[in-house]
Amino acid sequence: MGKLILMQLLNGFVWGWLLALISIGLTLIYGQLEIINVAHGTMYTIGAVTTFYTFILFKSWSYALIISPLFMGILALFIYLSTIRFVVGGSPITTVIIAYGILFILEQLTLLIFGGVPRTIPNPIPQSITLFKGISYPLYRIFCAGFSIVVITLLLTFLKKTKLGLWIRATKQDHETAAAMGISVPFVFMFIFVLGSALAALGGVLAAPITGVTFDMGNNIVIDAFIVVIMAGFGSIPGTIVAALIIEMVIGLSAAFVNPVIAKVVGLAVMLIALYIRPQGIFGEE
Amino acid sequence: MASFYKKRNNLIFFSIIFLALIILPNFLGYYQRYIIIEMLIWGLYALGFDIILGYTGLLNFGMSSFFGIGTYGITLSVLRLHANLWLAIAITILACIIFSLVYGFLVTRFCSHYFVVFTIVVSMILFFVAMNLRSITGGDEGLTFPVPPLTLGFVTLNLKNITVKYYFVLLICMLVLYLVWRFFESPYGKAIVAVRENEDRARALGYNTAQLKLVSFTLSGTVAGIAGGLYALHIGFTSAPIFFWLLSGKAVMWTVVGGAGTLIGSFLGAGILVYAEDLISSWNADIYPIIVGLILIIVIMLAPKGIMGALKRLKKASF
Amino acid sequence: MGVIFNIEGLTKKFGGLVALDNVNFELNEGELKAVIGPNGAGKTTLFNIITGIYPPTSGKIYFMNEEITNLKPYEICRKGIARTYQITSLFQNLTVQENIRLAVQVGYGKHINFFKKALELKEVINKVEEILELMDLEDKANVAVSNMSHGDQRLLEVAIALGSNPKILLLDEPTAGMSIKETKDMTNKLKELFSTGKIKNIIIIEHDMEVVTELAEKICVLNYGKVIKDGTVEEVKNDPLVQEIYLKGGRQDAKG
Repeated sequence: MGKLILMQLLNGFVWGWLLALISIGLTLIYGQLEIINVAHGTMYTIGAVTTFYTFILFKSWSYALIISPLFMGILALFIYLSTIRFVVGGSPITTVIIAYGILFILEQLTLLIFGGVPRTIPNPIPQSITLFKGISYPLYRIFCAGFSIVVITLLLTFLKKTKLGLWIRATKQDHETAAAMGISVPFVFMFIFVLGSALAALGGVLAAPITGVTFDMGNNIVIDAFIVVIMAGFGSIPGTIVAALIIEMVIGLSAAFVNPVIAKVVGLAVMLIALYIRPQGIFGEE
Repeated sequence: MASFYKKRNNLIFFSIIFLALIILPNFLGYYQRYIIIEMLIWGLYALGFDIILGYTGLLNFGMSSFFGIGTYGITLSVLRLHANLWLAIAITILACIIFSLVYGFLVTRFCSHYFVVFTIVVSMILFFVAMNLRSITGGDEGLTFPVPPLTLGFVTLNLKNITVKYYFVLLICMLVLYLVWRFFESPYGKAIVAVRENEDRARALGYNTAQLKLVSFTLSGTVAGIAGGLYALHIGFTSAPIFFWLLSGKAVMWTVVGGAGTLIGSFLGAGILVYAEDLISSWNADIYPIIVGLILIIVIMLAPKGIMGALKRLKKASF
Repeated sequence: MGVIFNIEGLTKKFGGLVALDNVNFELNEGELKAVIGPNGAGKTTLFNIITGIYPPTSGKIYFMNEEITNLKPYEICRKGIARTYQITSLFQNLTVQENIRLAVQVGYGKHINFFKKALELKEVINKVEEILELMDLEDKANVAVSNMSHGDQRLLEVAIALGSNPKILLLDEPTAGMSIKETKDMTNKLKELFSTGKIKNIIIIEHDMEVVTELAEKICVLNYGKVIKDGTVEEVKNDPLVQEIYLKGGRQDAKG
């Protein structure tokens, strides 16, 4: 039993970092552009789908780590310039509808190109390593968590140390002041949308060998991501990491005792209670 | 004075539509009647959403919860309790009211963003619970049930008959629409609009805004639940996936495209989009979500206040 | 002429910031009292606490011998205390008439009514017309608030506070942002309302000393959350401390 719990906690830890990676993209988009981007899940799906094609083409999964986010970034750029940039900062209702339109279009295109049949990608790192207490854990999953941590750390460093990162943080504080200081706010918004979408796609690349690839796999993830983003406190990246880890580890732990579906419910219920106790989120302001 | 004429014109306009809908079945085939029934049911569902969004100003992203409970209310009443039609409807309405009251009491204390997420979380909890409780809900395979007959006094009508169903659904929709309209013409309904417009000031004027939001939430959920009940009666079937969040999104789409805060906008939006989906999918099933997506984007960019909003602007401009 | 409203030892802290410090305040029946003080002195905070928007850190508030300290905003309004806002807070997309009607219908307890049409409540409609006339807003009855001038919006601010038939009216800088003429009109209007007994008790926050001297009998001076002086207009005007901080200290309102 103890072994099972440990395994599940590890799973939760891995998924937590993966979810954090995906959700940070949404935190940036929702927090800064105020867009209720229900299409964020399709970015994740596209990440996984392009991974599949990359694998078919190059017989290697690892190339997808570069190709998929790049592809998604370009696609996101196109999406942003054709629709999103006109509704940034508009009423939440308008943004939700636009996001829906994008969701339908992208998902249907994915279905038409990829098909409705779920596919799998072989595990790129099939070995397991032996951790303490004689538990054997898939190395690939540890890699996923590690890679996510690295990317998130790079992102935080980027935000703190580079000029563009400074622009992003300044714009988050106050659009008007940032614009008055000479920051190109439209460029910042565009960059955030592209970056957020690329991060979601990267999440899809990492998840694909574990979950398999289906054309609508993003629809489940996007809900989790939204919950994490609000739990975190609007626009807070550290909060996103903490919230994602908490929810996945609660679900993971519960899955040691109940079936996975009920475990999910427990996780959601915990979020609800947390929201009740602290409505502004983990790091949000009153 | 202008508003008086507007009211007269609106009344005439709606009477014509109502009459048209009553006479229409004579000229329509089976399939067209089927589609109109669906347009009406989804319109009613969207109306439930309009109550909480258009009139109360709260974005409830979990309308599928109420719709799903409505479908299961009817299904389980008939299957497990062997209820006749009217009892099943009464049980369903009661279940929706109780569910909405408890749910509303917990959630209306939150302001915008947290309210939205709370409703999403609850709807997903319901989804997973429903998927898991296979013995009660039938899980993703769902439950089929025999549609009970429609008994009025001594007359028994077969609700599976498309014409009977058509009038049944039409009359219930018209009735609910009328009651909701009267509600928002009443002082209480106006008070709810005050909460939407400026909740702080409404409170300062003496309104118990928590109570107002709760009542509106309950009305919204019950209307959506009635639509769910009608849907179950329409297809004689329901299943757990009905609780999935994509259905909630449809309510948002239909109401906003039609025009939020106008009541009739929800029927308009649902009607047009459901009909368009049907039309386009029969022409080319592969393309239709893409076209619907494009329609959504174009409509909302050109007319952020929906079709009704655009019509109002045209009316003003013509003077 | 007894005391109908009083505050005892009211203190409000926001984290480390002390917004109000042991404030005592009294209003006699039939009195018009002004609250003045530099920006940030705590005047609006005082109103916010009285109307229940947030609770005090300590202290009590009494109205007609009843403690109202921790009541909710809507309960306080129903007890008979109404207020206007420094930053206009109206139902922007509704018409003047609709704004007033909303205020009146709850003031008359007529809002819990699901069956009659709002426009058919005769008592409410009559009262709305009365208020429209009182505030000279009749010809603007069907204008949407967002289409009105700032001065008219400030008049409406007062108008809707009248809707609930308040026993005490709290006015928070009613002339804020008004031109000289608009200020004069508002001042005369308020004078008229008070002298004709339409509103019997008023507490007014104001920056414009001309308005204060025109209307008030008593003044309470706040500075950094503390009451510096509380007395008649003459007493306050001649108080050296008040003169130093407020009247002479360069913090006069530019309208002067």
